[in-house]
Amino acid sequence: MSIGPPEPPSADGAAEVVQEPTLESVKRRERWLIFSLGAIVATLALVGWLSIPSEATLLEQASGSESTKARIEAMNALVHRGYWAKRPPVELRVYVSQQPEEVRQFMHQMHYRLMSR
Amino acid sequence: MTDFSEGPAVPRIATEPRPLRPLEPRRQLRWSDLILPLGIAAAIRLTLVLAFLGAGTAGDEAAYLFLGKGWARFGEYTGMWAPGFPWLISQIQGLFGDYTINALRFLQVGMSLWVGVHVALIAAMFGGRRAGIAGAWLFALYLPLASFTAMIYSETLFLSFFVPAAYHLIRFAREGRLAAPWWRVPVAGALLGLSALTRESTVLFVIPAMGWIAFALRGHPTEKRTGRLSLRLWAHGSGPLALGPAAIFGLSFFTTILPWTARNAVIFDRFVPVAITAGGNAYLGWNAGDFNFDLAGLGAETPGDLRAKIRGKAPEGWRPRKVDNPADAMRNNIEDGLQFAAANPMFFVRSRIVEFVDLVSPVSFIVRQFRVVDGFGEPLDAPVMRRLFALISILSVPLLALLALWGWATIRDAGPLRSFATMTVLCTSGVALLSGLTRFRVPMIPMLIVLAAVCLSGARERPTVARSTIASCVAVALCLAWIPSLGPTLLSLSAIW
Repeated sequence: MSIGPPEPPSADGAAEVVQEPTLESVKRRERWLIFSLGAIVATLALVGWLSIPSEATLLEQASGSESTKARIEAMNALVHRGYWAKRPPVELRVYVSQQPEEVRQFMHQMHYRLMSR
Repeated sequence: MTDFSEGPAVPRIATEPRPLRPLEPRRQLRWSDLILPLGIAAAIRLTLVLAFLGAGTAGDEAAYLFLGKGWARFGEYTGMWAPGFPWLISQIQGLFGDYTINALRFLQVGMSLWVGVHVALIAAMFGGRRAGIAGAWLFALYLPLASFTAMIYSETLFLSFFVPAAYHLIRFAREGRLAAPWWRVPVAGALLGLSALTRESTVLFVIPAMGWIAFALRGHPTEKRTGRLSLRLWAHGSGPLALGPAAIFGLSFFTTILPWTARNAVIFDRFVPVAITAGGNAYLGWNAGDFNFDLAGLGAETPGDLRAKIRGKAPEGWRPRKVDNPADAMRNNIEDGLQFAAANPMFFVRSRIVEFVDLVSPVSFIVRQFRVVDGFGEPLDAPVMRRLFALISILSVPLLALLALWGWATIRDAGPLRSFATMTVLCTSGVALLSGLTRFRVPMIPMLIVLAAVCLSGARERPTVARSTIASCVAVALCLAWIPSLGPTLLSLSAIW
């Protein structure tokens, strides 16, 4: 079995008749694709921008959420935004000590530099 | 014939031969042609994987594993690097647990073969069956690239997205805007998006690639397939730029990376397209110091060394400003690095020459790995095997570069290949303006292999004066750049010896 582009037609190529799309139809299809992809990009950008939580929301999620995963997500975002770096280390340690075991492990293992300040 | 200037288009029936490959007929590349070279490629890579099974990790390998395992354990990514490779590690960790590292190495063998198939396909597109086979053999035997399958670095995953993207783009340009299937460009854009999610610097490639598409697909559709004699150096037509395919490519790319950009907005509260590694590179590269991880521990920076002489006396460097958000730190570092360059233009130019020297150096990551990693298994535990391996790795770098350069100048009817390879090399070298690690040259290696393979297959012509001049100048620049690398290369070898 061969791979790659098809072989040119044989010398008696009269039997090989290839129907190709016209330039207009290709351009029409391209415009449709550009519109569709542009709409997806715009929607993703808008949804992404609108869903950026504030620090207050993240703090609430980190301490009040019933889901451990949601708490970990919120703590990770707070760390990367520099929220805890701006505060005294003891405040972070107290905050983390009040978290469930998995969140504590997450902070001590994945953000050990911050925890060991 | 359909013309761009015509009004409503008339359906076109093409009855003439449509040579998608060089004008004289060649036999098609077959799957069976690839069995032997890619079998050898698999054997070499499996041998390397077996040798590395008990070896330790070095440099970024441990960090990749830490991030991937943490992601698997807590469901959250905590790193600053592009997420693709840590994500793959996290998935394998979920499946294989303690055997993650070894499973990843074996998986990388499969990825590497996938890359090899695409390298052969691109070569066959321009030089027929012989070029495809030559490409597969060169890919199999090029040890600096093969070695990445045994290391825990993102290069193999990156190439398994990047090379297929290149294949679809080049084939689209080769077939022409009318004849090519419509999905090639969006697929190429999505694949490049995935490679950017594996390696952040790929983001720099998107705008030049869009420009290349617009340029390579311009002109009359029928000209795309055969190339016009007067325009063989770069392109295939002289009509308006093909802005539609270029826009589709860019939008597909951004559609692929945007979900991660949105995630970054939540995490950093800033616009971060993929990752924030550029800040660290700016600190190391656009500064007074010069830390090359390839040469670390060699003592190659001693006074009197040619690299050091080219750099000259370094002015006072800068230290990163203290900020709490790492995304801000990255922007600050880039700003400070640019200010440093503006304040010390001559030192900056000299240090860029050294970065270029390091980028094209005959040493490579596998040679470095032999120095810094212990615990190799058979057959690399035997010193003679390791020395032989290192020696072949070092020699193959200049050999491939010169062969590819010869191919670039002499390949017949290679419009889209020549221009795409040129763009890839220029973009990759552009990253060296930031930092010149040999690991950063990986994106251009498959293109060099393709150029060399087509050249070896015999699909050559007498080069134009312009091409001869460019190729000669680049060859001289390469040979000059290898001179300052001679010291570190010999030191690397003696450390292995």
